[in-house]
Amino acid sequence: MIPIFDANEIRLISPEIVLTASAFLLLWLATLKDAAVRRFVPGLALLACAATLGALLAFPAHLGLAALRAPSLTIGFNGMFILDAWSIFAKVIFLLGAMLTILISRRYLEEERAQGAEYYALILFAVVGMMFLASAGDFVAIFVALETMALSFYILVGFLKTNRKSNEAALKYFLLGSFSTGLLLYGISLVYGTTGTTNLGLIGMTRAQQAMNVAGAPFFFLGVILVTVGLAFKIAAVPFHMWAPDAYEGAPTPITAFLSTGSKAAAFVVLARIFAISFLKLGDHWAPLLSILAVASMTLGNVAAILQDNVKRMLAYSSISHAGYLLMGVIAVGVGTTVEEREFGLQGVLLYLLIYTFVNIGAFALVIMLRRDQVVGDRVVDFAGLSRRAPLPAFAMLVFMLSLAGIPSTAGFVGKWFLFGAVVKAHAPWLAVVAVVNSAISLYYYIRIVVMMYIRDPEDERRVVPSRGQTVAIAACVVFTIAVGLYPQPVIALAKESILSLTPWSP
Amino acid sequence: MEWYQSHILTIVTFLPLLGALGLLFVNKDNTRVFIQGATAIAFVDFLLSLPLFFWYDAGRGGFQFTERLSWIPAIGVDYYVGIDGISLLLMLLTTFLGVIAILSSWAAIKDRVKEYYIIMLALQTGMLGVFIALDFFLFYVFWEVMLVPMYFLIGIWGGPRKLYAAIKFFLYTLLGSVLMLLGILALYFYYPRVTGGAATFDITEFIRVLGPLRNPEWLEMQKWVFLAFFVGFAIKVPMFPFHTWLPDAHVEAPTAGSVILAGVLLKMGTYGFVRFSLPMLPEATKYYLPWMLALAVIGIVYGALVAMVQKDWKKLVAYSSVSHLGFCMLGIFALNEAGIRGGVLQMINHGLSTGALFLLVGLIYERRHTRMIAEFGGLSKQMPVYATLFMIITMSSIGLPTLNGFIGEFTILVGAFTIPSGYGFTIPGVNWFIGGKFWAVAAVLGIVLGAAYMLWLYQRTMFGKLDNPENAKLQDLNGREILTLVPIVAVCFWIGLYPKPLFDILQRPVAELVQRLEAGDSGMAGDATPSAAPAGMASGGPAPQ
Repeated sequence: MIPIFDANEIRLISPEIVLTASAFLLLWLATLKDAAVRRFVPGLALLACAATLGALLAFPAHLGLAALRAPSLTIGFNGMFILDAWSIFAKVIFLLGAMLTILISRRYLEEERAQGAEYYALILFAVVGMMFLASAGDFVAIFVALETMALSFYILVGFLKTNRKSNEAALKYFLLGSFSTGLLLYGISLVYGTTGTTNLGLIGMTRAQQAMNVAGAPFFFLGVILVTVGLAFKIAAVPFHMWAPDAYEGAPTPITAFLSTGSKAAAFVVLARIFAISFLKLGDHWAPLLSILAVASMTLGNVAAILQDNVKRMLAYSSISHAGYLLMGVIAVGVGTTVEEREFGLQGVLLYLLIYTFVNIGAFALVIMLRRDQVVGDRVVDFAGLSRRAPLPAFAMLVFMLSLAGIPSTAGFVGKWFLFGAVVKAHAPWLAVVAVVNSAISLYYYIRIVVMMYIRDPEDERRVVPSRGQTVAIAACVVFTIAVGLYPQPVIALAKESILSLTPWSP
Repeated sequence: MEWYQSHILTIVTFLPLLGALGLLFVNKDNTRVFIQGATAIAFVDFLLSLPLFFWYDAGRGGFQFTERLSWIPAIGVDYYVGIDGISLLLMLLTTFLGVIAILSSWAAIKDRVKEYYIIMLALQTGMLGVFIALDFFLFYVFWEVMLVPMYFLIGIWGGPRKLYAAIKFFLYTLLGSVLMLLGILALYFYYPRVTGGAATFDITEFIRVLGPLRNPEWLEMQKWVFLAFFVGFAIKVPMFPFHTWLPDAHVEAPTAGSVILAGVLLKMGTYGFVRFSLPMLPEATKYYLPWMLALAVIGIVYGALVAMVQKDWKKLVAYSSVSHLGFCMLGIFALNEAGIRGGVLQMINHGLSTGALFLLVGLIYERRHTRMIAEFGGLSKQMPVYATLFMIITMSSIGLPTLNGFIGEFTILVGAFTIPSGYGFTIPGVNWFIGGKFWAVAAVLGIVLGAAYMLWLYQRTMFGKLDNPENAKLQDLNGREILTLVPIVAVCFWIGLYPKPLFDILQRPVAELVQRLEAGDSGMAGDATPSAAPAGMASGGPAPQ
C-alpha cells in the first residue's frame, strides 16, 4: 500500500493540526447550552494557542534553526508546505497576536453582549489560515490558506450582528476582499500559464527566467502585477486600501487589532516569500511598482490619519502608512544587488511585523479599555485626562504612540531603523527620505492622543480600571515595547537567523 | 576613586534618571519631597561632575574617561562614552544649569509638581547623554529621546499657546533628526565598504577612517551626508532660516524650560557640527563653507534686528539667541583654531548669560504676570538687587570686557578675520564679491546691534520713572532667587577675567580638529572650480593665501 502521506510530513504540520483540532473543539463547545462551560472558552482558546506555540517551537528546539534550512527536513507535501525558520518566526508572530487578541476580547464582548464561543473558534481558524500561508510553497497553497484566513475574518468583522456599522464593515470587507481574491487568482493563473508551474521555488529557479524570454512575457508580467495587486489589498496599501478604514472602524475592536496586525503580517510574510523566491530576478520590474505603492501608502495614510477624530479610523490610516514602511523592506530585496542588502530588508520586515503586532494591539487594547456602557471609547476626546483616570494604562499608551512614531528607546525605532536602513543600504535613499519625512509627520497625530491624555482635563472623572485580561495584554505589550527598544539584540539575532532560507541564491 | 574615575560619565549621566525613577514611587501630594529631592539630586550630580574638570588631562588630547560595553552586537552598536575638552565643558554647563533650572522652579511650578521634577531630571539625563556618546546609535537615542520630556515641559507647564509651541518644537526637531538619521545610516553602511571589516557606529572610527578618505565616490557622498546632518543640526542651533520654532518654544516654555532650551539644547546643534560634520566630512564642510558663513552672518544680523523691535521681553531674549548662536556658527566655520575655540567658548557663554536672562524675565513674570516691555520702567528703584544683577548679565551678553561674552566674541572675530579671502560668493551681474573679511565685518555690526537692543531693553525697563502703580508693589529678589543668579554671575566674571583654564582644555581637541581639516586641503575644495559651486551663485574658490 502506498501511504497518502508519510509520517514525517504529518509531523511538519503538527502545530496546525493541534490548532485546527482545538478550533473544532471550541465550535463544539459553542453548541452546548451550559453557560458554565462557555466561560472557559477564552481560556481554552489561549491554551490552544500556547500548545500550538509549544509544538511549533519544538522544531527549532530539537533540530536547531540551521537544520531547518535543509530541504529534506522542511519541505513536505510535494513542495506545498515549507517549514523553514522564516515561517516559524512568522507563525510565532501570529500566535502571539492571537493570544493578545483573545486576552482583550472577553470584556469587550461582554460590553457588546455578543459573547460566543464561535468567536474564539473563528480566531483560531484565521490563525490556521495564516500559519499555512506562512509555510505555503506553492501558489495553490497560498490561495487556499489566504481564503481560510479571509473567510474567518469576514465573519469576525461582522460579528456584532445588531450593530449596523459592523454589518456594513463586513459587507464592504467581503466584497472588496473577494474582488482582490479574484485578481490574485487571475494573476496566479497567468503565472501558471506562462511558467507551467505553481511551485514558488521552481518559478524562481528557472521558470521565471524562461517565461521572460518568450513571446508570452507580457502575460507573465501581467500575472506578477495582478498577484501584487491581490496581495496589496490584503496589506491595505494605497490605492487598494479603500476597505480598510471602514472595516477597521466597524469591526469589533479586538478584531480590528488582529486584522491590522495578524492578517497584515500574514500577507506580508507571503508577499516577501513570493518576491524573494519566485520573482527575485524581476526585481528591477516590480521594485518600482512597489515603490509607488509604498510612497502612496505612507503619504496618504499619514495625511488622512491627521484628519481623523476617531481613534480606530486613525489607527487604520496609521496602519496603512505602516504598510508603506514595511513595503520598503521588500523593495530592498528587489533593488538590492548583494545578498547582504536583500537580507537586511527581509530582517526589517520580520522585525517590524513582530514589533508592530505588539505595539498596535497594545494601542487597540487601550481603546477597548475605554469601552463602557454608553461610551464607545473610540473618539480622540475619550482619551482626555486619561493620565489621571488611569495613570499606568495612559503611560502604556504613551509608549505605544511614541513607538508607532519611531522614537528611540521604544521597539518601533528598532523596526524603522531596519526598514529605513534597508533602502539606504540598497541604494534607494530617496525612498528613505520620503519615509523619514512621513515618520516625522506621523508624530503629529500620535502626539494628539498624548496631548489628550496628559494635558487636557478629563470630561469624566471616574477612574478606568482595565479587566484582568486587558491588564495582562497591555502589560505584555508595554514590557515588550520597552525591552526590545532598549535591548533589541535577541530579537535581531533571531530575525537574522530566520531570513536565511529566503535568500538561497543571488540573482 | 579609581572605580569612580572609570565610570564617572555613566554615573553622572544616569544619576538624574535614577533619581526620577525613585521619585516615581513617592505620593504626589508630598510636594516638598519632589522639590527638595530633585534639587538635591541635581546638586549632587553637579558635584559629581566637578572632578571631571580636574581629572581631565588637557595635554593628552583624545577622548578620556571612556567606557565601552557591547550593547547590540548584531548591528555593531556599543554603549561607548567618553569626552574631550569640548564635551567636557558642555557637560559641566549642563549639570550646572540643571541645578539652577530646578532651583528656579520652586515657586513657579505649583501644578503637577511630581511630574514636573521627574521630567526635569529625565531631561537632564538625555542632555548629558548627547554630550558623552561616542557611538552614533547611542547619540541618536539620547538626541531624540530628550525631545519627549522637553515636549511635555512646554506642553504642560507652558504659556497660553503651549500646545502649538510644543508640537512645533517637536515636529521641527524630529524632522531634522530623522534626516540626520539617514546621514548616520549612510556612514554606517559606507564604513565597512571602506575597511572591509565589521559595521560599527563608533564615532572615533568614523573620524579616523572616513575623515581623511579622499576617493571620488566618498567625496560625492560627503556632500549629501553633510546636508542630512546640516538639517538636523541647523534646526537645533537654530540657524536662519530654520529658527522659526525657537521664539514660540521660548516664549511659551516655563522659565526653567527656557533656561534649559537656551542653555543646553541649542548647543547640541553647534556641538553636532563640531563633533561630526567637521571631522567626518571635512571636504563637504569646505564645499559648503560660504553658505554656512552666509547663514551664520544672516542669523547674527537678522536675529539682532528682530530682537530690537520686540515688545515682549522674553521674545527679545529668544531672538537674541538666534543672533548669538550665529556667532558660534561663524566661529566654528572659520575653520581655524581661534574661531573654533571662540565658537565653543561662546556656546558656554551664551548658555550662562542667556540662561540668566531667561531667569530674570521669569522672575519678573512670576511677579507681574506680564512680559510686555511697555508695562515696565524705573524698576531699578524698586528692585535694586535685581537691577544690579540684570546689569551684569546684560554686559556679559553684549560683550563688555572683564565679562565672559567679550572673550568669546573677541576670539571668534580673531578667527573670522583670518577666514581665507576665497570663501565667499560673487554676486552675478554686479560682480561684487562677498567673502573673506566681509564676514567678520558683518559680525561686528551684529555686536553693535546686540549692544543696542540689550541696552535699550535695560533702559526701558530699569530706568526712567516708576510710573506704573502695579510696579510699585514689586518685591526685590529673595534669598533663593539671588542664589540662582549669583553662581552664574560668578562664572561670568571668572571666564571674563581668567579664561585660560577653559582655553587650555579646548586647546588640544580644537588643534586636532583643525589638523584634520587642513590635512585634506589638496582635496575637493582646492580643486573647486566656479562651476562646482552651488547653482545661482559662483564661488570664487579658495584663493592661495
